[in-house]
Amino acid sequence: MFRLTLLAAFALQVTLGDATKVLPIRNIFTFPINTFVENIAVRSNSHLIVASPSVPTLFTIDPSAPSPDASVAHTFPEGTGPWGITEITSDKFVVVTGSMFSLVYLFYDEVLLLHKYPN
Amino acid sequence: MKFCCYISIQTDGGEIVWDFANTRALLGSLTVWTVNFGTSPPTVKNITRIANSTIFNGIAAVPGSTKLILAADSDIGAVWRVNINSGAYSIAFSDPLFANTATGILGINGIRIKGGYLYFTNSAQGIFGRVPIDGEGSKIGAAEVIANVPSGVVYDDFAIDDGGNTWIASHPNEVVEVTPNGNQRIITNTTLLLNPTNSVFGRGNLKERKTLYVTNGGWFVGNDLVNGSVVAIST
Repeated sequence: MFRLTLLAAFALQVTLGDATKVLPIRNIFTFPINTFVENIAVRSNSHLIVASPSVPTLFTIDPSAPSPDASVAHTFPEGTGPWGITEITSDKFVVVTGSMFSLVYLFYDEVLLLHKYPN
Repeated sequence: MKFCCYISIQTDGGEIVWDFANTRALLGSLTVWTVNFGTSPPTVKNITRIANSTIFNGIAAVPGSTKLILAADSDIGAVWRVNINSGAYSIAFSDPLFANTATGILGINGIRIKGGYLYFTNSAQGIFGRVPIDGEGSKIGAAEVIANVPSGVVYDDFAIDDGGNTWIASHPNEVVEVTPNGNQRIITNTTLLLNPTNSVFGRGNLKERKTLYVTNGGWFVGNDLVNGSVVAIST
């Protein structure tokens, strides 16, 4: 059983000598609650392809838009959501889906089933 | 607790334990597709189902090939090869540096291919490394470790910039930049980096190519996972 309290570990980072770095970060798009966003690729037209194993859908986002929004590019007929995405030839992407058991999180000592997929 | 393999993370809402053991697909459900964005709507083709793996985590096309991809099996510590023309698939190679551990279920996780090397993270072992491969995606030399994960951080997927620096999305609030010689710089942001899961550099003009887009898995507030999102880092 491996438990790591990360707040305590933050203090260690500094003493370990790993350099810290500050760069500008801005939000592009926030998905609805309970969407575990996991994968991303980018098209040759600079639009992002984003996927979550929470939903069987590929989204596209134009990050240069004034208020970037996620559009549904495709919804797969089966499975629970894309994992990997990679471009194989120009603008053609390989995508892997699978029917997840579940994404399970334990909240305190209670089992929280964030998404339970019976299939 | 009955689960053997998890990591606990302190959040605003308390202690969250991510159970990697259950982050698996049902055996026989993994499916490989091609999605052609050159048409509107995209043209989608079912290539094959994978009968004998429960997780293809990171995937990467073999450069110079129009048909071969490699896929990281975080469970058995192997790299699979899939031919999207024929649908044939098999394990390309394995390595002890891809394996999971007694305390960490997800072994090899993210993969990218650049300059004749397959670069990989292993979340369980806490390493970033590489292995030389040929044009068919076969291993042609020994795997090596480039960096060990900083304390308190878990490596996930990553992107490599034009200078050969690797930017690893890392839990709980980090992006870790690794230089080719293994030096690390840590970007921490507890409001905009919320369990980063993956990253990619933009394409197009110079500004886009210097922009790192990072996916956030999200953060628990109460029982809800909030702020699953995409953020942009100007590098």
